[in-house]
Amino acid sequence: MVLVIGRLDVVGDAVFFATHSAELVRVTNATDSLLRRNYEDSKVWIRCLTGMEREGTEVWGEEMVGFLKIGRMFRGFFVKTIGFVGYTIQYGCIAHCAFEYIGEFVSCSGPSMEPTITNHDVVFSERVSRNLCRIQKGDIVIAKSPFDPKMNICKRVIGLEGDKVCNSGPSDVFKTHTYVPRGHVWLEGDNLRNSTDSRSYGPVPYALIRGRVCLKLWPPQSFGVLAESPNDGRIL
Amino acid sequence: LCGIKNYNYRTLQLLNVKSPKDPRQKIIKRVIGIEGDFIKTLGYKNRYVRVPDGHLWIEGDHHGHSFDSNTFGPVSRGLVHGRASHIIWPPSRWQRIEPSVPPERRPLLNRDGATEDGYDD
Repeated sequence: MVLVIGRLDVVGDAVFFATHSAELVRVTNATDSLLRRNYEDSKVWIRCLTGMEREGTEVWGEEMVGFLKIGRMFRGFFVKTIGFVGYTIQYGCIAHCAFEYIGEFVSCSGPSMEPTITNHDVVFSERVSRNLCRIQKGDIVIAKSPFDPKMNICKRVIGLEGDKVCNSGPSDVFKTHTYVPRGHVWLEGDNLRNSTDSRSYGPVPYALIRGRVCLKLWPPQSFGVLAESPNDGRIL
Repeated sequence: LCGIKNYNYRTLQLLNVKSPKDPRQKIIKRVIGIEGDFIKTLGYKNRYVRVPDGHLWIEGDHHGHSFDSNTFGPVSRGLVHGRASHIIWPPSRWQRIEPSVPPERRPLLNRDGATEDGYDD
């Protein structure tokens, strides 16, 4: 039975003991409970009551102390990396759900919604109305383009399914009307002279709508809720 | 689902599409023609149709009793929700769904102008 005062270090399955004089011995018969208690804080000076064998003590010197320190660092680094990856995955899932079910930020380009939305404006479009089928006449929506599903269009809803809409141009003398078919909406840009919308490609299926624009975020001087349609009489 | 997100799919696959008549419903039909193809229709308002850009012509396999493009016309590619690849229930019908179509439903003319071999009117 030997009474030794020193420091415990664990590398893999082996426990090493560094004494006052920087001597390292490998602990072979130590009590299990003692080892566990001191595993985390290997810098604590402990009193170890156990039977020990000395294994080649002249070989273990300053070198082994250095190796033990690196072993400890790698273990801590590995644990931290796993924790970081876990947090990243959690935040990624939450962000994905937010963009899919709550809303997204959209940067608009093009002149077809002037003066309500101008080029390079940033707006926030929410998805809740679309999922609950509560898009109404007069809402500005972001929809996938019927001709290219990778492009998006930003227009105002003029008519819902079953509504009568005017599909003749402003310069026509006789106005013609059509009815919006079931499951479709009629979209028009606010800048009627410079907008390709349902007047050219017909009603758009409701399922192509991605979200309803509810707030303009940029530029800061026009921050806030968007204006009503400037074209009187288009919404019947 | 990767092919769907890139909007690349070949003809003759079975697709899961959001219905253009009811946005909450999804229908499963076969792609008969992609953009640029000329299709001879079965019961549509025009006898011959050129599928517009960004659209698909979809049909059910049971021709007389199917709510498909012969009723509502070509559908936009943005409505595609997924591809039906396997039947998993009931277990007696486990199979992989193969892209195939009866020869009389092939398009008349493909996008690059090639006619289908063996087509007779």
